[in-house]
Amino acid sequence: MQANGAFDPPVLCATNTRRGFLRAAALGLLGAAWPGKRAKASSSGLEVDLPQIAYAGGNWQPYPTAMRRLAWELHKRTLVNTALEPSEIKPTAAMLSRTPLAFLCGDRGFTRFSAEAVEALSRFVRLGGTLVIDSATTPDGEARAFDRCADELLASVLGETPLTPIASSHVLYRTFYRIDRPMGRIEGPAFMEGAEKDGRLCVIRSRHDLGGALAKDNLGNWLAEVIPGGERQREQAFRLGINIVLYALCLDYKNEEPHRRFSNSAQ
Amino acid sequence: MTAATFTSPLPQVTKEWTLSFLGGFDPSALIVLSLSIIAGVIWTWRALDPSMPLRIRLSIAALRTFALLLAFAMLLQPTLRLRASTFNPARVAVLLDGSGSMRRGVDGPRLDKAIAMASRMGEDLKRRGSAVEWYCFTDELQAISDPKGAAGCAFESRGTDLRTAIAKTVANENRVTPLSALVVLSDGADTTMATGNRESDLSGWASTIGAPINTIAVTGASARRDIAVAEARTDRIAFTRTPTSILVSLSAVGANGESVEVHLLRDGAVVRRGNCEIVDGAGRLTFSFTPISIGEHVLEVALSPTHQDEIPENDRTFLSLSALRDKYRVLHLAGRPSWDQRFLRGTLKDWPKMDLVSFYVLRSELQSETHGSSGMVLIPFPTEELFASHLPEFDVVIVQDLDLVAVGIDQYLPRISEFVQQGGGLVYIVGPAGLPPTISADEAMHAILPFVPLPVGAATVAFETAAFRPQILPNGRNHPLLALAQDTSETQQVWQSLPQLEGLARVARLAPTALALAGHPSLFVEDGPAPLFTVRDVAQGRSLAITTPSLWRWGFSGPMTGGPSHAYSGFWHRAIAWLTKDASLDRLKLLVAPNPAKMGGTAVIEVEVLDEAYQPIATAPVEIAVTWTNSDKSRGVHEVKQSTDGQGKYRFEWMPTIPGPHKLTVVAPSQNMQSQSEFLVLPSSEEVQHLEPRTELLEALAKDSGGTFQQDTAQMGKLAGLADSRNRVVSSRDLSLWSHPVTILLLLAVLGAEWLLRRRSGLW
Repeated sequence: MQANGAFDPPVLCATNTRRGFLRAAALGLLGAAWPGKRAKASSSGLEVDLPQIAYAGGNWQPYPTAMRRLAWELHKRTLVNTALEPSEIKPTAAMLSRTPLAFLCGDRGFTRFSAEAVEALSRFVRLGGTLVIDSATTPDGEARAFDRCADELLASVLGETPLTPIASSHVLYRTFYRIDRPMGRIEGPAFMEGAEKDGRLCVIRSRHDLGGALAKDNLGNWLAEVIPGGERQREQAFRLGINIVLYALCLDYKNEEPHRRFSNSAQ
Repeated sequence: MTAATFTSPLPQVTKEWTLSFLGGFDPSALIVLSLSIIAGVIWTWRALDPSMPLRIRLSIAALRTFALLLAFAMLLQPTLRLRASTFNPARVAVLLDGSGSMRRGVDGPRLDKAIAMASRMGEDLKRRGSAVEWYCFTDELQAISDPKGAAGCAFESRGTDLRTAIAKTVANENRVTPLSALVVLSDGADTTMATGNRESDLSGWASTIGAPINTIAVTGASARRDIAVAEARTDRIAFTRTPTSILVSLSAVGANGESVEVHLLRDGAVVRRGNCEIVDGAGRLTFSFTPISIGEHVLEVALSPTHQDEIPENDRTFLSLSALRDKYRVLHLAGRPSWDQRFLRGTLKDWPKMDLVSFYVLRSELQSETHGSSGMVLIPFPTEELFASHLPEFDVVIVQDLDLVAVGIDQYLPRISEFVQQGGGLVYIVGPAGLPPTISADEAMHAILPFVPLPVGAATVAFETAAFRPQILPNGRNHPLLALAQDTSETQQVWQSLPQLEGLARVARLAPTALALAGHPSLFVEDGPAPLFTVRDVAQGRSLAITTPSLWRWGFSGPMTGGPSHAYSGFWHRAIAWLTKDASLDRLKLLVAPNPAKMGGTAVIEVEVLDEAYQPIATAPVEIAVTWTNSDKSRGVHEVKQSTDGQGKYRFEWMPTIPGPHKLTVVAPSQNMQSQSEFLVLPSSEEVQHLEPRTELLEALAKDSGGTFQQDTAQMGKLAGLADSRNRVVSSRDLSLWSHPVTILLLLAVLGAEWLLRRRSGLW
């Protein structure tokens, strides 16, 4: 990260193996050099962008096509005016101010965020932004290392606000599709976690490798196998992704009385 | 209270001597002392030489005995007390109720009967030597010289307050000796204690007076049957759409067990009916009233017109309440999920005064057909339910990025137009695609929107996507909608610190009577800068159009980068207040003080006129009319035509001529503005609601204070406290015998004589 014209030395969050440390350090050194060149944000607030946060010292984009795929499905299935080419953003106040929804993905440990980045993310979630964190389970990745780094980052960003399991009755699971349990490329835990501010989920944390279920390669083939549920589970993952975006946009809309009435009668 | 005149016979002074002992010995000490003296005498006798002559021995023993007794007497400290005292006759305060109800009566004014009884009582008391203080009371107290003074007892009376009258009488500082007794001649028609609650209101109070209160109920012949609306109470402040309770108390004579129909009326129309059963001369009823509109509400509580009794004047009463808006009911319709819709929803939901109902279109018909509805929780857009039934329940409808025709609401567009024209508020916000083409063809929307859309197929680009920093236009400089800070210069600074907006829908021009408050810095329409915020007064309602879908950046992007954090929410709060004609944002302000006004007093009526830019208008002509209905059903009116001062205000004082509801209408012809309000003028007295005698209160007063109660008669023998003539000590003087020099000399003489006799007898 750049501060006062000089690079901060990359500080790694918890990595419990020497190999992991060396790899993260190397990635950190590399990563410190590039974000200014590659990161870009959607120039228009008229579209709903699904940007991924580009960070240093890890793999911020384990599935490069996942967000594009989700954007396309949103465009196809809903009236959300989606930006079909999701952007990349650095965790700065200026870039985070462009869009109130951001995805933080990864499959390994990453360099500790600078104080400015933590402050920017903290303002982001406090002022109405939604931060979605997805742990990827790539073959050469270390999802646990990513989880530890993400935990450490969230502790700084959220302060006293705890991360707790999102109840299956939460409106997030009813905001467009009815979802019984969260699923991504893997079945994962029966719940996602979230942090609330003013009654709104400002952080949604998935340990289900959601991006892995959405991504396709350049030839249009699914990039990763979905286990154990196969294509049916992949559809569930898409539905979860769509619900997350719709929740960020509509908040507790589906909790209003007419919708609750309908939801109850449909059950 | 004026000074009381006391009548009293000349006092007779009597003197009396009394002997008292101040030594303070208890009986056991006295016994010990007495035994010591006896032992001393025996010891003295036995100590004398028996060979001495008996005469000498007897003399010495006698002198010793006398000395011991004298010393004993001095120890007891005998004192002579001279008391001079006078005989004080009983001091009696007689209170005559001079209130309005006492000046009525089926067989003549009750006050005449009270005066006659009090006069007879006065002569009797005089014969007994009692000192009498005369008072007349209503809700005030006045000293009078004799009972007949009660007839001319003249002061502004608003009711009857027995407790205050008695308390003030007892507290009279001009009185030297305390009262022996009070005599109250009244019909008991107190106006300060709720009907049916009087005994509990008085609980414990009368016993603290310190003198018996003898009450004489002066009732005469009562009405055979009368039911009165004794009282109607409610909280002065109520909230719209929130039920408020109105407590009605009835008092009745000759109607026990009856059920009477009571009406709650507004503007002469019955809004609630209820039945009230009369038990023990009283009845209670609670109406639930829900104000729909904000402002003053004057209500009437009246017995059913079919009801008939002997005193029709007390069959109704008025009350007023001021209704504030508790919540804004807003219907938010969005054509698609977007950040603009999300932040508007968030801001409205975070506002405690907001009652929000939302319907967002989440997918199109085509999407629905293509992808089916499996696993979805979407509900059909309840157009008929919303627009045919529930639309009038909302204060404001927000239409955001919604093609009303495309979603099948076109058949209800006349309803929406009617909603606005009848006082509703409309916000129209364009979406990222600009204005839907169908809006150009809809006449109903044209009637309420503040702009004229571009015609279909117009050559102009319908939607500009470039970012821009809007500029405040002249009509927006003082408009409350854009008052993002306390004053205009600060507002300008805040405005400059806001993030740029993206996207602007082009319109053809402003609608007639619409105002553009802010616009694009470089794009223009037919009649000026391309508008961003346009407002319009539409008959009774108002509309606001926002031609960018990126206003959400004020609520998120701005604060994220250190910009003002409350600009966005503040804008929407003011927008909703302006659309719903919040009184604080009225351009023609009316004020009546006090409200309710009162007969006999003056009401100050103030009018303030502001222009469209919310600047005071000096020398603006105003036409003010206060109207009311006279007792003969004719219409009364007081009209004033004047001009405002340099502050845009005009105020005058006016004295009401009749109690009841009044309407205030103000027209500012130069601004084509008219405003209405209503206020209540209360009667100067509540007596008319409390005309019938209430003997239970007088009985309770007498019982609690140790006095007696009589009805329509004043038997002197039954009055408590009159026999309590007291001796009052005027002076007291003490003469101490034990310390008197004669006593001491006598003791010395006795001791000296004994000593001399002993010496001459050869002793010691």
